[in-house]
Amino acid sequence: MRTLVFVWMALMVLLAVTTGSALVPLGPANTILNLVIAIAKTALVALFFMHLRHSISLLRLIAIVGLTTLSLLFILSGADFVTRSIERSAWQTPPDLRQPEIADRYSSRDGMMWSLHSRTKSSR
Amino acid sequence: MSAHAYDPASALADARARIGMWVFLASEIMFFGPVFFAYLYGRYEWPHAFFAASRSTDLLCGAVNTAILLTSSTAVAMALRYAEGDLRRQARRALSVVMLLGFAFLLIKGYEYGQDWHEHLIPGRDFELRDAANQAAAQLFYFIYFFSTLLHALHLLIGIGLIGYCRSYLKRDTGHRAVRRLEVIGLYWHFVDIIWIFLYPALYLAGRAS
Amino acid sequence: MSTPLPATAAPSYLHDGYSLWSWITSHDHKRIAILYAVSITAFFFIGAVAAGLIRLELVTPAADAVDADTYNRLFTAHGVIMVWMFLIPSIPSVFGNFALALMIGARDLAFPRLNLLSWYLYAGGGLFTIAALLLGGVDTGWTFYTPYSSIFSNSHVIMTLLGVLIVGFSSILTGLNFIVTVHTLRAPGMGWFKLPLFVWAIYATSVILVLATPVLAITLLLLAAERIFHIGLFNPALGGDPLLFQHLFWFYSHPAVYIMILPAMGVASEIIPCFARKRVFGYKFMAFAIIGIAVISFLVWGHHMFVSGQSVYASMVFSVLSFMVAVPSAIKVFNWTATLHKGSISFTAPMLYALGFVILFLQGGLTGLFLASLSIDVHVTDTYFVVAHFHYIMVGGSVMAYLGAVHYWWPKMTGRMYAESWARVAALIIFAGFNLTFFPQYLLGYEGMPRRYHTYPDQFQVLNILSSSGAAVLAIGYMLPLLYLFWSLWQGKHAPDNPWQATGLEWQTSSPPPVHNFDHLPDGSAEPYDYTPDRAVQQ
Repeated sequence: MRTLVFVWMALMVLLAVTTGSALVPLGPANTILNLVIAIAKTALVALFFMHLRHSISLLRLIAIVGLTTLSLLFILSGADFVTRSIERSAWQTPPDLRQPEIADRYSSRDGMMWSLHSRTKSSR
Repeated sequence: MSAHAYDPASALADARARIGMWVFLASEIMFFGPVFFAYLYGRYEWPHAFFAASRSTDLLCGAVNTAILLTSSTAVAMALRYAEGDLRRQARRALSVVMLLGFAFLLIKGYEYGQDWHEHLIPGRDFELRDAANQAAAQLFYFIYFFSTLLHALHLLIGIGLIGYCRSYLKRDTGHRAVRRLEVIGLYWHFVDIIWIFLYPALYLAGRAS
Repeated sequence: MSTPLPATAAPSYLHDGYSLWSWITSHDHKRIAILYAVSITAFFFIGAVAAGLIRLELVTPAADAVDADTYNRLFTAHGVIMVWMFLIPSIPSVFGNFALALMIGARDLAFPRLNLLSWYLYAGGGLFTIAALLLGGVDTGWTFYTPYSSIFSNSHVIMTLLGVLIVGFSSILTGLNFIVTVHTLRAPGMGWFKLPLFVWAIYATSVILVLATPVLAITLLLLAAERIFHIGLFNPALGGDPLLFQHLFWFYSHPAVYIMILPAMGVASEIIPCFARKRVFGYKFMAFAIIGIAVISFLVWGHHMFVSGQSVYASMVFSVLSFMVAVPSAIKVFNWTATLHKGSISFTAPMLYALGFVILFLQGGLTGLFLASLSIDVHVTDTYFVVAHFHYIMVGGSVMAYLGAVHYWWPKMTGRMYAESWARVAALIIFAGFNLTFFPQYLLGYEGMPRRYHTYPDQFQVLNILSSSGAAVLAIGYMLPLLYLFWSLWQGKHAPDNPWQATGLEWQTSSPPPVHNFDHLPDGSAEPYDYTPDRAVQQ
């Protein structure tokens, strides 16, 4: 029972950290931190509340298979979205993406740490 | 561990129930997962709009709701411990706390939805997000917000019903079956909690620090 | 395997209550299998009527039988009904339900009431879809591509989506039931490598059912919400992306085709050793190939999207992965062939269907490699080449295997023998009719005839006439089993416990089995497929 109280306290601490750190501008580290903390909370719930720590390995396998299959969707579909390039034709001038109003209208991808393209892809 | 003698038929039924529920949870993660993917798509394509929309959610309500759900999961785990130790009255009390926390979550969510209505954040004709240049993308965020939180709330409501059923079954049945059902329904409750653990940063925390 | 058990004194499951109510409220996996068999047969014939009308229209280049809008509704109805109401449930829900528990020596599935709920959901969802059909149907194609389905279509999209959604939940629960059953209810001594390959196949299918179908469910819900609330998740004008829909849709729909073929492979692995009187060649490779197919099936869905705007790099990755999925399938084809080699083959009806399955699946699989090649696919995508490919696998493969399973387990399920000569003739007519229908479609597609068009240039007419004639022959072929199988229910010879002298626990109980399956808990420790050439097959 004491373990459960400690787990609860850890979860509350993690919640405080994730909420507090979100208010501090850390750039891409905000997202990473939030993701890591969410995974940590999930691990605590899964291992201690859902008894995955001392379950038969089949149950752990089922959990892992589910997560792996979901990650396949993310990884392979994501591979499509991040490797798409917009081929502009010779008579199209690229919009000036430094202006914020236009940037929002043209899917700017600035600030995204996993972007693979430079912003000013010149026309071919 | 239960004070009852080892009963192979009961142990087999336990195994069936646990494996069955975990397989069901695997299917549920595949059910919710694509909604997160749709969110990632929106955030990747329209980062400014998504950050602006994310800032307009109610951080206090979100954080309180997360705390509520995490506490309710702890209470479910405690209830199972009590039930396994044959302390049924304490177990049922813990389950009452779980149900109250669940209802509190839904009330706060309802309050948030009401606020969203007043602030013209329901996707549709009256949608307007003040500091977003791209209203269409901001609407996309709110579509995903309402779709995912409504789906989650539906699962939570079903969970509350199941917990209530467990609570009454613990009184009616003095054998191991009530404990088994609580364990399996507890797994479902923890899963609903885990979904919220990921919904919270996705919907409430993005873009706060700008 | 030694002498068969004598017929038990207990009533068979067929005689355990005669009212309709006793049938539709039964928890018995064997009765639920029959309920599924009746409903999917009904849906098969509805889908086949749609196909018949399609082939009728395509006899002439002009639009004379039906107009464009009706044609769209016909091919959509054909696709939706055949995929979701027939193929996906067919072998798992009928023979998985009937034979799985018997094969592992269990009294029923892990969750019998959940099994009945699965059938209710299936029947209910199916009725929803029929209702949508009667109200005028849907014209988006079974793939429901956006933005047509989300914005522009005026047909009953949401009603059809709901029907498919409900049937989807039925599949998920069935898969869950099978997985838990195989893990927890095997007879003593029956380790994983003693299981019949049909059980392996159903298990792998169930894993795909559980993991892939929820993605379809949420995608259809998102589509419905998009259609009702006019949001732009799949609409480029509002910041969305039609490819988002396609990724989510095909993430399910590609593994779905393996849901359709894996059980068929399992059936072939039961029939071929039995009627070649020989052990399966390479049992462990066969089992691992099944798992390999199931795993790789989740990695290849982008090959449906090569020309839809998917990035070239992602397309190349999907192309390579799609080649990989052919490897375990090929291993299985080699092993079936090796099983036949030097076997004592008897050409009974089940064997004819199984052989037809291997030949036609091989063909369809090879053309799948054509389609996996990015450069070839760019030319033949959305043509009749693709239509021919998937019909070779789904009809030449799955439907042949389904019919093989019907004939193989008919004596066990009904306690009657069917008329063998009629069955052989029907099998040959189906094989001939199938090839006449679909082989010309490879040529049509290669020459550029697009799919989902009700008119075409005159030069394609000859091949289309051949194809439509084939469809007529196929229709006759499919009607015949309906006739002689029903006839056998009244006039067929009573079946012994093990008419085929087959191995497997299901043949160690009476035909039909008693309600509780086995009088005594069977011993599961025997090696599977313990066939010897000198044991003759009872004809």
